Amino acid sequence: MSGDDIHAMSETLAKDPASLVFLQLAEALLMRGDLARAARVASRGAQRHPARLDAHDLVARVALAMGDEPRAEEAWGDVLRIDATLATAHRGIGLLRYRQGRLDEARDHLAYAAHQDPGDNVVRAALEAVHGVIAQRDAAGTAAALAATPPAPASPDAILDEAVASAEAAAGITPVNAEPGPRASAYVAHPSTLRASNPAAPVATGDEGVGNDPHGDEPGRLFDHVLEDSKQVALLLDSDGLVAAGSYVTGEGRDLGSELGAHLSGVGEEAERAMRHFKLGLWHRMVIETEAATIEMAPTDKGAVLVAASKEVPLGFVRRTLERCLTVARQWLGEG
Amino acid sequence: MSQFAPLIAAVTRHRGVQACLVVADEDGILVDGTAHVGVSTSAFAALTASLYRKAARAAESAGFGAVTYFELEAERGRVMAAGRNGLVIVAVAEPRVNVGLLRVELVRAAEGL
Repeated sequence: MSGDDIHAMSETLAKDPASLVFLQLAEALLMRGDLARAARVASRGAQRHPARLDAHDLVARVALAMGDEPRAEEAWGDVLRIDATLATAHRGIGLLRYRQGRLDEARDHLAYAAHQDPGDNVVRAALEAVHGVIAQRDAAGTAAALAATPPAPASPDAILDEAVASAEAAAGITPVNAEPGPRASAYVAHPSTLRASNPAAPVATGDEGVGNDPHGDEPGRLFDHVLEDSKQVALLLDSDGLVAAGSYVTGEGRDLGSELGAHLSGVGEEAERAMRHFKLGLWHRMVIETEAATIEMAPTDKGAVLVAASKEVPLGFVRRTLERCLTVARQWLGEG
Repeated sequence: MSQFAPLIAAVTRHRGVQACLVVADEDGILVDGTAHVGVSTSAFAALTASLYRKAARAAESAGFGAVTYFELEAERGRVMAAGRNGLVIVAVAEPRVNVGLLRVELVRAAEGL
């Protein structure tokens, strides 16, 4: 939808604040990433049309895009108070609960959503993951009751991550691809604490052919032979921002790959739109320098490769690493 | 002349720079800038601010801290940006631009925002 369309809808809404065009307008703003305006339009619309389920659902989705999980939850709660059978609200709350580790509630909501829409792969995979985690939790509980000194239980996140990985393997997708919320931002990942999945990876020889990849059959270690030290990490993201290969683990053992991937995938889509608008052609490299790190990203046919490096690593070296990882990824994907 | 004029002039004097704008990163509103004919400044401001904001959110989610510099390289040009205090100075440049030099100029200019 063009800027002119948005302008026209804004004018329509200004002339007639009761118009339902707010739904299309907020949706268009959401698609463009103009979240603050989308939130304003959706909220005002929902206030004016409190009985409209789609208005509250829109408020929830915009809030989620802004990382405001409590607001999203509140809006979906409004939906369910009006119509307790609406599957999209169960889906939204179920996925939120899943991310929050509130597994029993997640199971109930997701089961309902899956029943209503059996073709929703995200819900199905999340539900499978939740069932798996609950089974593990229950088994651990039983073992703890039997053993005098049970082993320390894994954190809910770790259990969940493991379950998600199983679900990914089974379903070929990852259930959680939403904007990370407060849980993600609570972790500090100074790149000095980064480590590649194989810190002792051999120094690259310059020939990145998959045939020479000692870890080619392990996606998590695809780039190990390219990453020459522990100050760089690399990920291959698919078109949905899910990690297809590589890993990003902090020194504390926290896997931030999926969170970074989800966010940066959105940046890639935005970049594509912007470059099209400016008639600059296809984008082929993005650099984000921060206080603590350098992130470089380049697109593949159906996703992107990103490299994150400590600020100590020279920019040119990061670029070189990206190019080599891109070569490896393209060969691995059969794009080479 | 606005307070940003010297910063913008320092950037635009580089060969290959087609536009230089100072933009509010929160809402993409153009604060000041100059562009060659054919560059729509308001659209450019809005889209680059949105890109910068998304990049900043991604970096912060990973615990990398605030974004100091952003660059997007495309077939027929580059968008480069550096920000501070809620403002972003953005340049759009031809592929032939001296990237290293312009990057340094933008980061320096951002210190004056």
